[in-house]
Amino acid sequence: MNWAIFHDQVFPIRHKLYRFALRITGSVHEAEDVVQEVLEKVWKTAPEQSETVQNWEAWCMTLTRNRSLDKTRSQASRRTAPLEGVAERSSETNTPAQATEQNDMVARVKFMMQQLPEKQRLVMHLRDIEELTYEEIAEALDISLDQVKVNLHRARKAIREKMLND
Amino acid sequence: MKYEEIQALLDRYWEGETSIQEEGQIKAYFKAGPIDERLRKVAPLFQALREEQALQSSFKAKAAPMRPQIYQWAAAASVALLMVAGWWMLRDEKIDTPLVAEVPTQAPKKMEPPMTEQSMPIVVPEKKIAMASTNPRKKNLNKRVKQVQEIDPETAQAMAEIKAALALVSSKLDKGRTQAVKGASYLDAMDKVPKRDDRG
Repeated sequence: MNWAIFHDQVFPIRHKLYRFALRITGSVHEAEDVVQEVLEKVWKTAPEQSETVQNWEAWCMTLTRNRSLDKTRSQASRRTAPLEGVAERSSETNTPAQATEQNDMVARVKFMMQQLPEKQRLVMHLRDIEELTYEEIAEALDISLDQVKVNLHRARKAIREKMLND
Repeated sequence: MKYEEIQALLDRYWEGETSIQEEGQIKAYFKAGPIDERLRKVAPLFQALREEQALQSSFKAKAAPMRPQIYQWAAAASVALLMVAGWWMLRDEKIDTPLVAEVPTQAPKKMEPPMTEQSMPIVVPEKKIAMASTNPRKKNLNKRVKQVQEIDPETAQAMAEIKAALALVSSKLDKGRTQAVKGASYLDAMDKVPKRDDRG
C-alpha cells in the first residue's frame, strides 16, 4: 500500500466507515473494531492488488460492509439491541418541553431507521447520511442501480408514513 | 425558501427523485430554520440525519502507518552508523600497517642469527622495495598486500569474528524492522482499548 494514497484517500474516510459499520452492527464497539480491521487490511494490501483498485472509498465501503456483516452474523444475539448511545445527544432547543418532545421524536426517527430492512437501511444511510451517488451505493453494496432506487424510495416512504402517523 | 418550494422538493425526496444538491437544499432549510409549521412533523428526520452525520470514530490521527516510516529512518541511520564504524576500523588498520611491515625490511641485514619464528614475515623481494621507495602510495599498498598474505592466525581469527558479528547485525536489522512493523499494529490495537472505554 502506498503511503500517500492511504493518507489522502483512506484515512480521511474512517468516520464514514465507522458510521456505516455502526449502521450495520448497531454496536459502537464492533463498529470501532471493524474500522480498525479494515484500515489495517487496506494498509497491508499488496502493491499488485492496490494497483487494480480504482475507487478506494468504494472499496473500503465494501470491505466495511463485509466485515460488519461477518461480525453481525457471528454474534446474531446482539442484533436485537437498538443503536447504542445515539438517542442521548441534545439538539437546538426552544422551551424545555418542546426540546424534550423534539429529542424524543429524533430518537424515534433514528430507531425507525435502524428497524428498516437491511437493504433499505443501508441504502438510506449511504444516501442521506454519507451523500453517496446511486452508482457509489450500488458499488459499495454490490447491487444494481434499480435496486438502489427502489430501496431508497421504500425506506423514505416507510419513515415518512411512520412519522406522520405517530 | 418558500413553503411551496420546499414542499415540492420534499415530495420528490420521498419518491427518491431528488439529486444530492436538492437534498442538500432540503437539509439546509431544516438546519437554518425557521421551519414552517406545516413541516414540523418531518423536521425530526433531518435533525436525525444531521446528528448521524456528526458521529465520528474514536480512531485517532496518530495513524499506525506513521510508524513504519520512522522505522525506515531508524534502519537507514543504523546502516549509516555501521558504515562509519567500518570506515573507522579500516582507517585504524591503515595507520598500523607501516609499523608492522617495516620490521622485516631491516631485520635480515642487522640480525646475525637466523630467525626461528616462522610466523614472522621476513621475505620481501628486492624489486618491490625498490618500487616502493619511489612511490610512497604504492609502498603502503605493497606492504598491506603483504600483511594480508602473511597475517598471523590470531589476527585472522579476530577478523573472522568481527566479520561474523557484522553479518549477524546486518541480518538482525532487517528482521528487527519486520518485527517492529508487526509490533506497531499490536500497540495500536492495545491503544484502542482505553479509548473504547472513553466512549462509554
